[in-house]
Parts: sequence; C-alpha cells; structure tokens
Amino acid sequence: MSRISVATVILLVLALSAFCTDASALSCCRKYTQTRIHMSLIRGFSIQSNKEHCHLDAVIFHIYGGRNICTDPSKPWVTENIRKLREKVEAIKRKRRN
Amino acid sequence: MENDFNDLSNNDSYTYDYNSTEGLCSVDHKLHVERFLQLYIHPIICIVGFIGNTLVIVTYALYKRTKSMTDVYLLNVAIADIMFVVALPLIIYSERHGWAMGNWSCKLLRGVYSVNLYSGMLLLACISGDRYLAIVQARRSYRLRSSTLLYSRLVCALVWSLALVLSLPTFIFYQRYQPSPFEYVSLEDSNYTVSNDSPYVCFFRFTSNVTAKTFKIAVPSAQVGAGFFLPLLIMGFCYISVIATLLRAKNFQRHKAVRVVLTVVLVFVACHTPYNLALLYRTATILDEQECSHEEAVELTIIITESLAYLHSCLNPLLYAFIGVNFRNHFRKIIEDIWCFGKNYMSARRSSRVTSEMYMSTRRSVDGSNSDYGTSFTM
Repeated sequence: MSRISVATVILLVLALSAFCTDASALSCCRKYTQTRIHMSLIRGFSIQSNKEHCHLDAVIFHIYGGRNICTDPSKPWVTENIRKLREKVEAIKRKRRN
Repeated sequence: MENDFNDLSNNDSYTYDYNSTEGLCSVDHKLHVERFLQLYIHPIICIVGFIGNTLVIVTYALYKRTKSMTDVYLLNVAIADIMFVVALPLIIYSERHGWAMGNWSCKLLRGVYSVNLYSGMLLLACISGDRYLAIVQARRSYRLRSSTLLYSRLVCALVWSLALVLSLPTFIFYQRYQPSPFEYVSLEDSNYTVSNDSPYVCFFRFTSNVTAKTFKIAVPSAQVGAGFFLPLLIMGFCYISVIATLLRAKNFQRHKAVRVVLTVVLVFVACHTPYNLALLYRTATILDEQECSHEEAVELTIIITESLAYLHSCLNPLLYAFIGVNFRNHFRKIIEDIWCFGKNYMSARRSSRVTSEMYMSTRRSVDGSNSDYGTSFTM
C-alpha cells in the first residue's frame, strides 16, 4: 500500500515538474517605469511589440544588477538610449571586422 | 526599427533574472494553474463530453429515423460539442509539444475550436426559438411545421456559416511562432549577443500595430457578443415566454416542463456568465497599463471560469437529449440491442442462426422508432 502511494507521489511530482517549462519567454510588460534610466546602467535591451502575445509596446532595459525595466517607447529618452546602444553595437561590429 | 544585427548571432546566449523586474509580469502562477486544469480537469470534461455526445449522435444516426426540427438542432449541438471536446485535448497536447505539427495545426485546431464555440452557443438559441414556436406560437407554427425539416436545416447551415465567418480572424491571424522580444541585445565586455531560444506558441500575430489593437479588442468582443449575449437574449426571451404559456396551461405535467426549462437556462447562465464577464473585463482593459498583481488575478479568473464554460459541452447531452422521454426510449433500445448483440455473439459459437436473428432484431428496432412520428419534442 505504502509502495503504491510513494509511486503515486513520485508520479505526481514528475507530472508537476513537467509543468515548470520555461515561462520567462511569455512574460510581458504591463506597465512603464516613471523613472529615467541612465545609459551607464544599461547592459542590454529588448523590444516588446503588441503585434504578438503581449499587449503593450515596450522597451525593456536590462541593467547591471540583473534588473529589467519596462519603458515607454514613445518617450524621447528611451528612443535616445536605444539609438546610443545601437551605435555601441555598430562600433563593436566594426572593431570585430578589423 | 528592423533588427540590423541578426547576422551576428552569438552562441553563448545570455539569460537574465526575471524575478527582479519593474512592470515585466511573470506568468508562472497562471501557467501552473493552467497546467493543473489541463491535466486533471479538462480530461474529465473531454471524456465525459465525448461519451455523452457520441451517445446522442449514435442514437440519432442508428435509431431515430424521424427528424423533427428539435432533433436536427440537438444533433448539430452534439456534433459541435464533440468537435469541441476533441479539439481541446489536441490543443493542449500541441501546446505542450511546441506545436510541432506546424503552423497549419495551430490555425486548424484554434479555428475549429472557435467555430464550435460559436455554433454550439447559437444552436442552443435555435433550440429555444424552436420551443418558443412550438409552445407559444403553437397554432401559427402548426402549418409551418410540415416544412420544418427544411427550415431547421437552413437555420443550421446559417448558424455554421456565421460561426465560420466569426472565426475567420482566428484562422487568418493565429500563427505558430517563438514569442520573443522582437529584438534582444546584450552589451557586455565590449561584446554583444542577440538571442532567441523561447518555445513555440500558437497565438495572434499581426503585421501592423493598428490591426493588432483592432483585432485584440474585436475578436473577444465578438465572442462575448455573438457567442454569449446574443444567445442569452434569445434564450431569455423565448424561455420566459414558454414558461408564461406553460403556467397558464392546465396541464398536470406543466411543473415538470417549467423545471426543465429553468434548469436549462440556469445551467447555461451559471456556466457561461463568469467566463464571459471576465473576458469582457479583460478586453476592456487589455491595452491599458496595469499592475502585475491585477493582471495575474484577471488571467487566473479567466482560465478557471473557462473550465466552467467547457463543462457545459458535457452537460448538453443530459440537459437537452437525455431529459426527453422519447430520446431515453431510443437510447434504451440501443442498450437492449447491444445487450442482445452480446448475447448473440456468445451463442454464435454454438449456433449459426445468429446472423438472421440479429438482422431481425435490428430491423424491428428501426421500425419501432419510425412509428412515433412527430412526438419527439424534448420536454
């Protein structure tokens, strides 16, 4: 009897652990931050579009310390930061080619 | 804002911590509850719904040769429900395997799901309309009922086409894709990575922001409007009139009939109202900024109430078909014939006369069902 219950528990745990798939990719920004983020803090960004499963257009800045911050792409400082980041990427690209 | 550095994708893809975020909402809780429902609740609904609706279809296909207006509707509801409970596990399976069968399976399964959702709900409204004609407009509909079969088939064709038209956006805009940030760039130590290793999903994908905004509002609005409020209004009007007429009548069976009508309406309201109100609320606030806790509460409400709505597809056979005396008689005949078949099969090992006997018994039961013409009104 106890053997069966142990097996059941193991099966349940296995079934439940199968649930824990990578969910991070489905996360969405639902709100924009009110504070500005200085360029020196940013180590990357990603762009969320409302054309897919998320419902807001957003720029997510990944800053040092592991935080991700949702920002409003219609704000000038956000587009300005992205422009600067892209310039940095271009610079790295050129450096690699040489 | 085209991605201009896709050409240099780096292998060491870079992960970041989603726990410390501002505005980026985790969907872990929602996924856990959803997976629980998909593993323990939906299979029960699907199996019970499949058995119940199969019995309805088999009974109509094999034993009930007379088809009144109600029969045609009931058969169509059963077909819609059975397609629904077949599509649901296939959707769950595909979802968990990254829609490996490809884009067409995503479009087809989601589309079929949507068509049957609409047609199921609209057909229930047709049944209420049919009962209204039979009871409230009894005299006027008496002449009409000679050509009812044609009418009901026409109405069913209309309902299925409407369901198909309402599901067109799903067929067109649902796609299998990797739900990534459109552009993901990480700059570190004078290096950068562009990564995308997320699992595939099947969801809306649009080409412009305007279409995205329009359809993300329009599709659920149509679902709540044409898939809930319209049938609810029709059923409300028809059944209130039916009950009023029944209460005026001096029939000793009227109380049973009133109870049946009330059960049908109350179960419909109980199953579909919570889900549709939650869906309406989400649709109204979908494009607004929101706290993560609020977003999570709304999503959880939706997936839980959705299961309640699914439950209706396995209650339909009980509420509409098995509640009718006529249908139960036909169904009893099936059981008896299966019983006889079993007995004959056992005796077949001893005797070779079995085939003719079986043939006779089938003939008899079919003839029996032909005799009670025009009494198939399910109440």
